[in-house]
Amino acid sequence: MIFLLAVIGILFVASAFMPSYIIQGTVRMASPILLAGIGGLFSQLAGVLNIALEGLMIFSAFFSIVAAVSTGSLFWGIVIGVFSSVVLASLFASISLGLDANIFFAGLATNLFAAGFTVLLQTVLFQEKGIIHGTDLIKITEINIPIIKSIPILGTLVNGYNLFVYLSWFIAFLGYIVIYKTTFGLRLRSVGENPGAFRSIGLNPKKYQFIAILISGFTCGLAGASLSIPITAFARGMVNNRGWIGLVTIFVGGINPAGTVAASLLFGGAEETSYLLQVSSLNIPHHFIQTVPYVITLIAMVAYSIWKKSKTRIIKG
Amino acid sequence: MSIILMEGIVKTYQPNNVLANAGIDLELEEGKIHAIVGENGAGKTTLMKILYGEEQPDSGRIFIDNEKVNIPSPLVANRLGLGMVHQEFQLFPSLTTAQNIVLGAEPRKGGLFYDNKKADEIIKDISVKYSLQIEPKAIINRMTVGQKQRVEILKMLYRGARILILDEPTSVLVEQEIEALFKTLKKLADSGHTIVFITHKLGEVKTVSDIVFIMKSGRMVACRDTESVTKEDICSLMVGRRSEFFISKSPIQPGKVVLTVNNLRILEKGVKQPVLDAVTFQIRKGEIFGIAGVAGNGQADLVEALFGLRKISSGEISISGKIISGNNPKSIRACGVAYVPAERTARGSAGQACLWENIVVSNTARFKKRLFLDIPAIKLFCDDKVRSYAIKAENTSMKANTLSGGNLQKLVLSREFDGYPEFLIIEEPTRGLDVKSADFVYDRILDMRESGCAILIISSDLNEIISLSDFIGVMYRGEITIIFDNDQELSSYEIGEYMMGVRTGKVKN
Repeated sequence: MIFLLAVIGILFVASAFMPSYIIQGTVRMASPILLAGIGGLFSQLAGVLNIALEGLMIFSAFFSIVAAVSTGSLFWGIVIGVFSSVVLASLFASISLGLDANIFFAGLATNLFAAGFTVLLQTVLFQEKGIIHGTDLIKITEINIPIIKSIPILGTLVNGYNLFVYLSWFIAFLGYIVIYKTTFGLRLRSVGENPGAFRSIGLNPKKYQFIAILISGFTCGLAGASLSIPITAFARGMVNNRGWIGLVTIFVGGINPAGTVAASLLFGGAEETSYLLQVSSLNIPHHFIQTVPYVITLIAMVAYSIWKKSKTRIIKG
Repeated sequence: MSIILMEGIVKTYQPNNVLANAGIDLELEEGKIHAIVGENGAGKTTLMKILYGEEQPDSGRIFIDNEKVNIPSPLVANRLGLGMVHQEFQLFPSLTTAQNIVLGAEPRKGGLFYDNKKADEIIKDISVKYSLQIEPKAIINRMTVGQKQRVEILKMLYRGARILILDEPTSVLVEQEIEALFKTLKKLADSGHTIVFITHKLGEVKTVSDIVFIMKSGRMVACRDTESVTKEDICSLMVGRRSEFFISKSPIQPGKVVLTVNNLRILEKGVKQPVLDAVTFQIRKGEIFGIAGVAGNGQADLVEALFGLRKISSGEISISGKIISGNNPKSIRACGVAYVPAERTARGSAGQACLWENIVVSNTARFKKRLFLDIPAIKLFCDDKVRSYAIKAENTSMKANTLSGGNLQKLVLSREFDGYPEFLIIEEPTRGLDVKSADFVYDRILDMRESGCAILIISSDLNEIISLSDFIGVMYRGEITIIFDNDQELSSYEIGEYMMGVRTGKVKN
């Protein structure tokens, strides 16, 4: 929670003297990472390291555009995109939980399958390996909130985003409620801590883990759609490791929703920085610039583990 | 009035056909406290696990309130009013007391939401009702062991347990906590609950139980009113008469001192009772020193200290005058020490590795050919070992985890006995082995003794200790409380009294 307040504080201060497009870009970039992170958090709490987030996002990014193009409706595009991701998640869950496959290999296979299968379908359906355009589709618009939009700093921070950005914050909040306030959330947190004890009180650990993975599927579905639907196009590689970074936010954030929100803002900022450097007139090779988010990931992970170590030392001492 | 009746319970464990329960009858009376005592491996825990539905008996019947029941799982046991507190607590460390207790049957509001307030109230109510003080909002991982145990008991009571099973409840507690637990148990019994607990400690049996059951090697040997028996009676029933199996040993010609342990102490942070305290003894060439004791009195810690697997707090260990305490296992091995651990699969061998790898793993230097291992030479060497130790295996390339217990033990011996070490540590030499393999192991140990090896044997089988050892030390609460010279006519009964802490006294060899 402190982490989240600090990051939001930084954003507030920054928005006072930085151009608003940088702040908005940060929040916008954070949103798909946040969605993936919150979904992954559910699995993590249930004791399942969900490394399939990336693949789930790829699936939805692809199918939401395909569905949108064929139905002519963005709404159905999103619904079907999310559905496809949930289906893939249930496949991953069945293999890893139902068939007791090694979760790491199952997740890796899911990612490779998603990446390969979407390219294959793209080639077969559209005779196109590069980009699918939904040229006829109307684009979703930015939402303007009356009154708030005219408040100086707050207006910059919370006004003028598309549906997905607001949705991602809502999902994060909803995630917090489900995890900490409901019976389901209580059980979810228990499974991850001690599956043996969970079984001993007559509950089925796998059932809860399965549901948690489906929730990952749902949020990654939204995350994937949030990449392709606003630009009404799908390009291979467009997910660009955001699923993996979402996975990192879970741990950098200390395995709780507030921390995940904060960490995804941090990485959103990193991506925005990398983007700005690319379009800037500075003559930095783009290969270096593209590494910025990953360098920040690395630094964040190291910082987190140092912090965690010192914390456990304090508890022990 | 009898509330539970178990009849003719038989349970064998595969793959070694260990008979854990050989036709046991048990009757529990409502509102009474029952103690089950017996040596390690007597089958106490197995019997309780069967009652709680964690294990299924091969045959036998269980009645609750004179009605025949089938208990396929702990969940069904809960429904029938049974609750069990395990040695290892089944709790969720980062959740609160209240959450731990109500989980699975949570109070809700609006169908979906967890009702925190109500849960806390419920816990307060039952903790008052059974006068088990507990703070509903306290987080489990900040609690003492005694408090955690209280949470476990409350959890069972919340689930409506009328019959409470506790597996060695006092083994993890300090003195004051034990007193508090006994008060609780008495109070629960007064309010009509039936209690049954497993213990090693005869003092506890006398203080708290109404009825005592005594088990030995998978059989129920006695059931008495606690008032009508003395600690000594229970002890002799538990240990039994000295059995007839006999090992012919040549008389020893004591050589020079090999192992010297001087005032060895191990303290653990935050625990007042030392793990090992003032342990002092010597073993000479060609001598077998056996350590008897109820498991958990420091024997395993002593072995780990001797082999460099555990840091000692003070004292000295030396081999033939050379101090080895503080060294790592590798350099201790280099001093001529070998170790046959109790856990053959976890510590004694690598299950996924093949036989020849297991045999030469500690001795690879001998088979080096420049950078590589001389595999043909190794295989020749190992074929010979397999033959001379009568290990039943098709070839030395099969994996170690395909061997049966007896053959695996022979495999470990073949490695550890190789090159005639100066000092041998053997834990549980024949546990889980059939008679033929056990005889083979005894023969080999005696061979080593005759070749001049100093041997330390730790076993939970007292007969084994008495038959093999030249000297016997008894460990109780981290101390060697007495050392017997095994020349005299020594009774297992007498040793048993020291094992149980009924008698203490210091003797030096």
